[in-house]
Amino acid sequence: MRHSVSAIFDSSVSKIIRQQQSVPPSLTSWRWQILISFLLMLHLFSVAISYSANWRRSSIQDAAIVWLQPYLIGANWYQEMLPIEWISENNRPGSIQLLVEHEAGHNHWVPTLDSDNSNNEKRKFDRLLHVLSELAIGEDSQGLTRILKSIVLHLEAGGSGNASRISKIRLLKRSESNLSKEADSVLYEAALARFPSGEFGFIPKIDSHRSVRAHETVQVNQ
Amino acid sequence: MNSHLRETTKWWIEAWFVPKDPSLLSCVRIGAGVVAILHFLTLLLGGDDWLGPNGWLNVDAGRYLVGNEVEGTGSLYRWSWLYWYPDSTGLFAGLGLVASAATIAGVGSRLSPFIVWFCLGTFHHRAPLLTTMHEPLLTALMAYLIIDNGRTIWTFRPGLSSGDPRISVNFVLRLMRCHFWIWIAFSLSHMLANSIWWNGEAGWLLTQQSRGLLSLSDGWQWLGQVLTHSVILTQVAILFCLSQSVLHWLGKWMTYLFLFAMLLLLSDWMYASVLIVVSFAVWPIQIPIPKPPSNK
Repeated sequence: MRHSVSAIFDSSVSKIIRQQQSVPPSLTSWRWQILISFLLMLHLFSVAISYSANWRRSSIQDAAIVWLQPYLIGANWYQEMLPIEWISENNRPGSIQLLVEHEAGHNHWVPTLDSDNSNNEKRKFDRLLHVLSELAIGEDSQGLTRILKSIVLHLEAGGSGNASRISKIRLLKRSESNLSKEADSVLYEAALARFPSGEFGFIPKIDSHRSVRAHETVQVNQ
Repeated sequence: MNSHLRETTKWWIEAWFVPKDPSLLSCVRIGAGVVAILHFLTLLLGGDDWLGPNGWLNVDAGRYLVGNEVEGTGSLYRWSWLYWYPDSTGLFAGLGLVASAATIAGVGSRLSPFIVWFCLGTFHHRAPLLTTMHEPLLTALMAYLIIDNGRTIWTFRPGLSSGDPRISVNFVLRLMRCHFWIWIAFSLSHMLANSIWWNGEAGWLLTQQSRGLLSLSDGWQWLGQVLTHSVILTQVAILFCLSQSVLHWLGKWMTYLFLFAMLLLLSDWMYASVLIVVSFAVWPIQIPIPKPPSNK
């Protein structure tokens, strides 16, 4: 068997290549070709597994992904949550809005991030807002408050041109028709609690749409 | 059985281990370098606003989103230096920019695409959430160009053969084609998993939200549906044409049609650019190589 494989790989094709194109013999030897072919198939298989396991995956795919993680992630082939489908039923853009109320705002909500607004980095803001809404709907209070804290710190540092302190934050899912504000649903709303150390936490508002338990005040370490 | 094995092996060797002229690969490299320059320019201007110490996604939020220290998420292999040096986004964007220019020129041999790939990975691993559609293809192109990147821009002239065909050139071009096939198959299957790509609603919704060049009013719903079906059918056609060498000319036009529909619906110019670059490798452009003058 070994001799037959050797004979096939070291066939006339390789010999012609070697003789006519002055290719180094090492690249055309059958051992190298088998090794490279094996690595090549392993690579393409890994990429296919990585792409096909995006968003939805079976337990077999998940096990394969975890096993291949050192190569897939380490060598930068693994793309998680890639928006390749452009638009999906669960990820319709333009329906999430983040509003803040400044300490000097006197109960005036200021739209800060809006999927409908056009700007150069619209898709990145779209994704950020949809991740926030997924975390709120999934009741992942730890993840939600960590990202909200990052956003508040950015805004208070003057990231959007207004460096005043924020007192409340609200994540809103707007109705598809955009006709009535009453049809909008609040995914998350919280007041900021400032601590003497300079840190702050979020006190979620109690309402029918709350995603975090009312008694829960989440403090995130800086 | 033995004859089938022999034929398959012959086909495999001819597909992967036959030398090719590096002119085509040089075109792909130059195109990929231009897209990379545009990519790093946007990161140079806006990277700090997103990933800096006071960015929209600071290190703490970024670590949480990659599942830091949660088993099975692979966060252990996220090697971005921006976790430890969050204020160096400009440095890595600048480094990527210079390396992209070097890649276009073909100087620095394999090191230039490696640095571009490294800088792309630095930003990707810091915030995979912010990955856009063109990045996976651009990263893959750069990774393959590390194997072989053609010849320098100084020696590259359409119509001039370098006279040094290499197996690695053919190997890299084949890898790019296979990667493109997997990408389109993956894109198509994800779209077909959603009913809005079957009932024509996807194109209509995207035009309603003014995400692309086209914005339709009521009464033009049929056009949204035509575009939706066009996006699906062109991807099916691309996959079919890739498997039939005699239909490669049609596959090229299907790719352009797909790009056109994408621009009408999404207006993602970077994605369009990187697809055009990949299409050089997938549907080879003809670079005339004249015969050497005969000695009289």
